[in-house]
Amino acid sequence: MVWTCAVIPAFGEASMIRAVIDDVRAHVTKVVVVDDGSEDDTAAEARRAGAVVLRHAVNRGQGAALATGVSYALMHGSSAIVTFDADGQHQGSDIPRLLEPVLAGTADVALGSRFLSPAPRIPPLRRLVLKGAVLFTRLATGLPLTDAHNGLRAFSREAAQKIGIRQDRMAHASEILSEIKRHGLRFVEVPVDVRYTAYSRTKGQGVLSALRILLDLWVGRGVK
Amino acid sequence: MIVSTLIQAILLSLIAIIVLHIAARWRRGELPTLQFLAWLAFWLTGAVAVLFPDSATDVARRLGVGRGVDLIIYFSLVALFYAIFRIFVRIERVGRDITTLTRLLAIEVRLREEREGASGPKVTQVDSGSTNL
Repeated sequence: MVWTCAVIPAFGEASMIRAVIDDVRAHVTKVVVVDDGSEDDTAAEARRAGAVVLRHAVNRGQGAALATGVSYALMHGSSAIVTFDADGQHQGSDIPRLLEPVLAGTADVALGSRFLSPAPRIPPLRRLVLKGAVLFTRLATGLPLTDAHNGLRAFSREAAQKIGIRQDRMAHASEILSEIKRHGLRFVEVPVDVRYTAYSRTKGQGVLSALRILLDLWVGRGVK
Repeated sequence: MIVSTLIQAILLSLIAIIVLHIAARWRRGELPTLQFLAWLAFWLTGAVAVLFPDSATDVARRLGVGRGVDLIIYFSLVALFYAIFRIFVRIERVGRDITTLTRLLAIEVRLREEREGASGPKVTQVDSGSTNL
């Protein structure tokens, strides 16, 4: 029996989370929201929307919340896991296209790419930072990706078990990619639609976060 | 008299106290021998530099650096950057341990909710504000 799970890490998304859950629920068996210590009603709203809710007692970061959700999904026997952002930038309708190669067994990981989409309208500074991430990933891991920082992905059960997410904050995105490289997992890039709204822009990552990610990756190497 | 200035006397006294202190820690077994010897070498080098201020300049000239003081500053900067990196690493380790505990707690609470079922007792909210630590 094929059981798919969407893991949605969320912090302070009480206003968006119901809409996101409603958008996602048709495409997966179970929706797991990990509330990363939000001060607002994110957890309650997610429960009301019918999602499984895990709650971090303190805020640990998106990477940490994602890992918690994946851990839970694997514990409950999920065949495939989709990671999805809680800010409304991702579209649930892209999920089937990500799950298809993973469930068919032709890929271990499906990575969403906004740059493969026909008409990406991305704010210029963001585009620059994202292209920088692509270059960095190519140098650091050798992976030829078109989008190196996209939270919309699908993993097979085996891939999710192999990939270790130890970076608590935003550097987890890069860590996942280097884990894919390290384990030699088969991956495909799938075009997805990333919608930038006034709301999601307030939550976006800037140049400063990119620098923070680099610092976290460097420090992470010393933690081993 | 080799201790010709007050600052030399003060610095040597401080170094002497520090050396006695770390020797005591080593004797008590709180400090591994290798680290003790490393620190001892460090402080004795400092004592030599204090007693013979021109020695630093000699070494510096040989290395192609202008003044002895500059040489000490360069080495200190490298040591400081390394120390700061190690501190970052230590903080990150603590953070990851906290995350491990947070994850365990989140999953435990959820598993308990599942065991008690939808008709069971009221779901407990895990809330950091409820503990007055």
